[in-house]
Amino acid sequence: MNTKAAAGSWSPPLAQTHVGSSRQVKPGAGSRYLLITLALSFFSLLFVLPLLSIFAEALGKGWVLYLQALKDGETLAALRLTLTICIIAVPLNTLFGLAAAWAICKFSFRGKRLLISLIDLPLSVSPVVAGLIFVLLFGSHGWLGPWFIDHGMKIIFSVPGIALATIFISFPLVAREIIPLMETQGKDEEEAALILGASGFKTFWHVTLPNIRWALLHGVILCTARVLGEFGAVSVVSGHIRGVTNTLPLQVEILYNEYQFTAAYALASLFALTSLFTLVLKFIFKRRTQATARSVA
Amino acid sequence: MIINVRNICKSFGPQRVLDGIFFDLEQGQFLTLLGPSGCGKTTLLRILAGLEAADAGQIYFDGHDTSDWHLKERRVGFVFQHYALFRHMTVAENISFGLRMRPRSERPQAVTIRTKVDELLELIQLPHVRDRYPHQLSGGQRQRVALARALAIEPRVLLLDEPFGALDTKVRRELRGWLRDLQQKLGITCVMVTHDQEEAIELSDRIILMNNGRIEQQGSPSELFEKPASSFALRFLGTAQEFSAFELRHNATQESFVRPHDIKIHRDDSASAGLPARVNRISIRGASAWLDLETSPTGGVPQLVTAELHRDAFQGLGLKVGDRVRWQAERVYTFNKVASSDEFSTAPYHPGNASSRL
Repeated sequence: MNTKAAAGSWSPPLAQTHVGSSRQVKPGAGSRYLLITLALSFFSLLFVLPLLSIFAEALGKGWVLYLQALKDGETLAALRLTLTICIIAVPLNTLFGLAAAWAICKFSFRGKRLLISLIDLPLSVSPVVAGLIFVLLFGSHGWLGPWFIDHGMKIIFSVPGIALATIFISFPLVAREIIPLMETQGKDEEEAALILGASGFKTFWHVTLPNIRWALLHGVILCTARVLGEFGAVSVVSGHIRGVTNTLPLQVEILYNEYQFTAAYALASLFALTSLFTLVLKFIFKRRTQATARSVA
Repeated sequence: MIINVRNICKSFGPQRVLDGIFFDLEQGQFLTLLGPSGCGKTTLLRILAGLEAADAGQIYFDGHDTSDWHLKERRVGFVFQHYALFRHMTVAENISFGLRMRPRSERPQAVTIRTKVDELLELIQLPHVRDRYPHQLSGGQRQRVALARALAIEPRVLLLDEPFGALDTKVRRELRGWLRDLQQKLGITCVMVTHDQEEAIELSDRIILMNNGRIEQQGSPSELFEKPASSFALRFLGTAQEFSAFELRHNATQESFVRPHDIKIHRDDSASAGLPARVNRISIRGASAWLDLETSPTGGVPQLVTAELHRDAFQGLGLKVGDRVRWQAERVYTFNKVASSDEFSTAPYHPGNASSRL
């Protein structure tokens, strides 16, 4: 009877899979509830409780203090900086991600494997190390730093450095979302478009982009979330100049270290809200992506 | 359009895929590139389309060298094995794609495009699917839409890459006849790639049989069938789905073959001519009876040979499994043996052998 219910809510092929899997050993009702309870309590302890505590702490002394904390001059500056970085980093990474995915999926060339592993590099490097790389390169005693300083460009302890470190850290997120989809879709449709006389750009705009749009949005969302919340790498390159090079996550740390708990939690609550929002969008886009992948003609 | 292909060569890394391909194609002809998988036929088609560049050699469209032509300038229609329809566009949008993508100055008016789409939908006999999406169509319908999309740009030549490969047998047969009619009606030059000899024989004016990146033989289907130039050609093109060849004489430099329908059978008592054999299996398919004979060439090991008899002839003999018979080959094909598999034979056809009897 369980099988029938499952078959009703799903398409026929899945119903068949279900029939096949019903032969597998199933845990009894008792152990099933035990496992679910265990999972749920872990989940509440590690995710829900901390999330609630953020809001409890932030709003514990009333709305007035909460809003006041958000309206603080330095905090607003930090928010502005974080958004600026976001506006710089996310479009660039979207562009890089698209270019990299396009190159990897539609062409074969020497060094392709190397490029694929390079894309994943930022994920395996500690963010602090990533920050240090940029200090080493662009710091006043770094390889390229003196040249830039001589030409009146300050990179480390300034906005460009923060942007660079953030881009480095969040680079793989867009590319990794679209590469698998592009690979399953192959390049037949692009070739068909080119043969029909479409230019390269028109092919990209009318054929490639619509096919990957949900995966791309999903990647952009993940990338944005990472950019907004990046701490380690930014902490190394920013220099913590209040009101100038402090991003929102750095500001939270400063406030916390100064025992301004309400303010720190108020800012943290902004992050929590963003993540919840991201989660919802992520869920929607992921489903759409899977739907596109399934509709492969 | 007239196509001349001159000395096309192509390698992928160390792998030589095409090695000196020459052929000419006349206006309105239906040419099939036939061969086993990996023989280079798809690569050749992609080079004709401009999707791949040849390492050496030229392709002429109506006498013009196309080497430096962009895909757009070639104006070829290409039909992919897996349709490659744009999945997020409706059928009408798919068909009109080529026209809509033209630069503004060359683009036809919206009304013209609409009429054109309607005409093409009529041509592929699917006017009702206009606003559907590819995933709502059956395989055969998708392939017809893909064909309409390719025809929309009024191509000079239609290139088809295993167009029926992904369809089931029944649809494949229907579509094949339909394509043949359509091609003759439009008078368009066609090049199709396939590994299915039946498809090639039914559709083509001319077949180019390929093997290991080279042309093994070219000619009309009946020429290839009647006068195979090599043992490869003989084995690849047979009347039946299952073509069974039999090496009659083992010889250091030559190999001989006989086709199932060239075998004559007598009851063992009725004649003394021919080799003795025992009937191992009988199967009747359509107008033919297929007999598996176990025979022992003088002093050799027992071997199996398959004979195809007309059903009436078979019934006249009144054979059953286990009966002793004698058989003769009406026609034997003999070729010089080739040294290695990729150095295939230039062995001439021996018409004299056609009369040789065993």
